[in-house]
Amino acid sequence: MRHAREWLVAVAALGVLPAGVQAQVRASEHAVVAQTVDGTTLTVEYSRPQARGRSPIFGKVIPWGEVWTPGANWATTLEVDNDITLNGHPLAKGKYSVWIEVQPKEWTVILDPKSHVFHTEHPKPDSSQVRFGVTPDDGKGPDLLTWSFSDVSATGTTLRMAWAGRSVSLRITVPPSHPITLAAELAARYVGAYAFQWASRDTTEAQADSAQVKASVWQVTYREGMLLADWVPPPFEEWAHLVLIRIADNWFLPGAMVDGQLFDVEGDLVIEFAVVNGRATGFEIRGEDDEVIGRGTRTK
Amino acid sequence: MDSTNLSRRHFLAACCGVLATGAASPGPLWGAEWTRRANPGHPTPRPGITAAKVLPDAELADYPDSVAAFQAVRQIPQIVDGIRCNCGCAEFPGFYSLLSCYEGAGMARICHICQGQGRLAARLFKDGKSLDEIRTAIDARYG
Repeated sequence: MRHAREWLVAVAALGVLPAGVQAQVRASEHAVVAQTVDGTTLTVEYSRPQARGRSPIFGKVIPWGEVWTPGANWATTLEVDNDITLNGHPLAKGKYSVWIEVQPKEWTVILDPKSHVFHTEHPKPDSSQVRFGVTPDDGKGPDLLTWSFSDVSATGTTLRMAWAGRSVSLRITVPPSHPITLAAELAARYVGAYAFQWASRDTTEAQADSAQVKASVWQVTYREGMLLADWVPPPFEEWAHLVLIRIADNWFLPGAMVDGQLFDVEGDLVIEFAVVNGRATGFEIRGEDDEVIGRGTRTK
Repeated sequence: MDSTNLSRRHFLAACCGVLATGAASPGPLWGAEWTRRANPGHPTPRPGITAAKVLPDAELADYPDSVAAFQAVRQIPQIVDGIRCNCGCAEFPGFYSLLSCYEGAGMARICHICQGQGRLAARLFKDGKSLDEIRTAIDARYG
């Protein structure tokens, strides 16, 4: 039996399992979970062990002090296609094997740049690794080891591993694709009030709606380092408060602010300000086809 | 109807025409994934390039919204040939530049990104911008 297991480990490590063997039911099935946040994609690839009545898992099946990959078979990996921070620790773009040194109270998360590793090849401490402590949460289940992205915001997400009554949550922050803050001296030229009018376009049901041609007002202000536009009345509720996100000289993307937080950036539209003698005189909103959708004219 | 009753989806469909146009797009060419692609670089305009292969207005009868973009591109083939398209059609066989979107199968007849890039290039050229400045603007807007 022991020889058979060693043979399987060796063959698997070489990656030469014949197709028929690879296609069979596995005790710990392979899984991939991915999440994109503001253009940064985070991917966890792992195999999913089941508790199957073994209890306790932590402290017995996985002894205290063991450096364990939270998965099975090949070490669980985390791949990030941008530099991020993980629980406040910088993590460079790349693919890492994921390990946890389990103890009764404090666990140590280890990200090792050597990513294609079998679970029996526990990493030795190395300066290339990212290591930090976490306090696991107690709870019930799940029986099946589960990695998930439990929340998503404009700036990050929470990566959570849960199994057999314990879980750890790792806060991930991604770099913004466009900074939402703007220097005060740049913002000053746009601050003011604008009368907004939709441009006449044709044929669609929504454009025929009288609301589309009704005049409205933009009040552009500079607060907390952001260029903000209050739109009265807004075309729909989520656009009552916008942050104007600079992408080029006098060009901005509209970002919807809900409850003071960036909720959505509409990359299909661009707001182009006309600036004369250092002061905006008005703006146009253009669609993806570069046609003008609406115009604002400075009134104050 | 109060304007705040308008849904975001409804609004964007109306403003951009993306949903409606995509749903009505016929033919196998249009089955390609329509998402913006990372721009690996702009092509070098081919010496002596002209607008001779750009579809004539007669072939745009079913796509009246695209006529202005085709007319704009016909005026500046040497500029449009130095711009890469960001809608994904750059992966089609025979594609060289944004100008290719206005030739042959005429992807620009229905693609708002092709149309937008062409219109923006023409607008900026009219304002006296150089090819490099136009490329930078295209990257900021569509990249």
